Amino acid sequence: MSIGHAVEVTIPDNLQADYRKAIRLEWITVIYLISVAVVMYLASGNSQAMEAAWIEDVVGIFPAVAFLVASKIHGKPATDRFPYGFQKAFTVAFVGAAIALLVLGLYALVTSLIALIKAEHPSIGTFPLFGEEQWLGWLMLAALMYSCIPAIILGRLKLPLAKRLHEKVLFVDSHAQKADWLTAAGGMVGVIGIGFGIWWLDSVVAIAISSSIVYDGITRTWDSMKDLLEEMPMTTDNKNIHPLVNDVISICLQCEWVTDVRVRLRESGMVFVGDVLVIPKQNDNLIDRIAQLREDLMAIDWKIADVVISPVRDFAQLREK
Amino acid sequence: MLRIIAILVCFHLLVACDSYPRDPKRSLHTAQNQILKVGASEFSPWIRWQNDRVTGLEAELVEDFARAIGARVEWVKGSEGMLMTMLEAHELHLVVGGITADSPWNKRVALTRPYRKQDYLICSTDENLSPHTIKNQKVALLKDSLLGAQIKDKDGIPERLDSLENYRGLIAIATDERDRYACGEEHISLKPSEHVMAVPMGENALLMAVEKFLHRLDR
Repeated sequence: MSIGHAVEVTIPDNLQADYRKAIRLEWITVIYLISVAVVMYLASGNSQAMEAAWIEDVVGIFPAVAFLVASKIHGKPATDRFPYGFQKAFTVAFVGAAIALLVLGLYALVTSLIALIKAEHPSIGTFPLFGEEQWLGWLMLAALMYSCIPAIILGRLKLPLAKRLHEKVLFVDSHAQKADWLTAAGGMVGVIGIGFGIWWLDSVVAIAISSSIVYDGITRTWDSMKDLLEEMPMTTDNKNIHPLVNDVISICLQCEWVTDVRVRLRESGMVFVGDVLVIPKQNDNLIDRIAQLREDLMAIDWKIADVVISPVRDFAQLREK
Repeated sequence: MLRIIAILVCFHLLVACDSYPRDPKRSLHTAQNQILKVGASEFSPWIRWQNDRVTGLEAELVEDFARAIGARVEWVKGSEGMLMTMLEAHELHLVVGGITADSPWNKRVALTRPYRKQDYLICSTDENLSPHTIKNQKVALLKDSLLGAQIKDKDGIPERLDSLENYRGLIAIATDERDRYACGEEHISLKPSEHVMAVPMGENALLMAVEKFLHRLDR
């Protein structure tokens, strides 16, 4: 069959350790977050702020699981049905996690707004501890600390890995965990406020927490949409066009047999792929020259995984300004 | 992170000096050393109204609690629905009357943690009748018992009587009443009921005081 299968991407040796560490940390994250979900659920009682914090923690499970599933799939060799391979598994993971975040954030926001409007006074009773009845609020505060301290540590460990691997799901996930202290602090303010009889502080904090989840959800969903729309590769913080794009252009223009070039790249999971259209000066040795150029471009960085170089007469097939 | 710990420490010291948690509407404060307004809905043996006097298991508990906070009880008679509505509006401090943990009022008022778990069973006072199944069998129960639903679930036929003394056959009773009716050993266990009291939603100091009192009795 004349279907061309893309070659699998191999992560370079110096990043293999990072990649394996990232996977290990994400497994730890998933197990830890499930335990947090259970602990917070048992302790949460009536507080809206705690419920919002619980949702934020539970939602964190999605990107972690998405990353793990994508990492299992992305290395699979291309098939006839999927000739481009499975690199985009990470993009799929990103979209799923982003939408989950947005939907749950909206749910939390709506329920806390309703609680505030209905002027609901949260009721927090007691629980038995060593024969004495203790205020359940203390247990809730302890649960909140459990939900934030390991999360911050995990976030700090994963962030540099995400930057080096240029992996969006991992980046956004670790960023969220590092910021978890704010959510937990909010939850604690809510519970402490209830103890002081300031019942509305709880709903207000919950609204703040869920608004930030919604804002996160919207930005991540928009980012994942941009990925689907095949935006040019950007730096991990999504602020600038990735420097490798310019590297590709300059290497092409440095070739003495090239008159002009047009470059188009897109992100495919952890790597970049794309098209390079060149107008050659002459027609001789074209195949060898193109082959050499392809080697040179792929040698720039492991992230440039696949470029298809086409010699053209002019750039009529493009929309030139 | 150090900031969080510092705040919690300061806060702990603050709490040690004053009452914590507090009631948004100062319920415990208005009841302490004054009048405890209690709604009691009729439900034997928890609450029994006779003319204008209240007796029953929960009536005694409430009187003891009131004494513990130096208050005098003012009893209010009414149906559970009416009393819960008054409780929601903070017109009462407490509502009692055989309220269980699965009460549908739990979203509008605060229910204490269950202070008592009542077990029930079906046994036989007739040696020739074994209670291994009650399908299509008559099961006698007291007039104000709530066990009719569970009997019907098991395809039995509930028969309500004023008294179960001298009844020969299957009876549905509270487990502690077993010796009173001379039941055989064999029995079918029924779902227990968990008993609570109700305070206004969000009045956490009052809730804590009531729960502490009720659970001290367990020991």
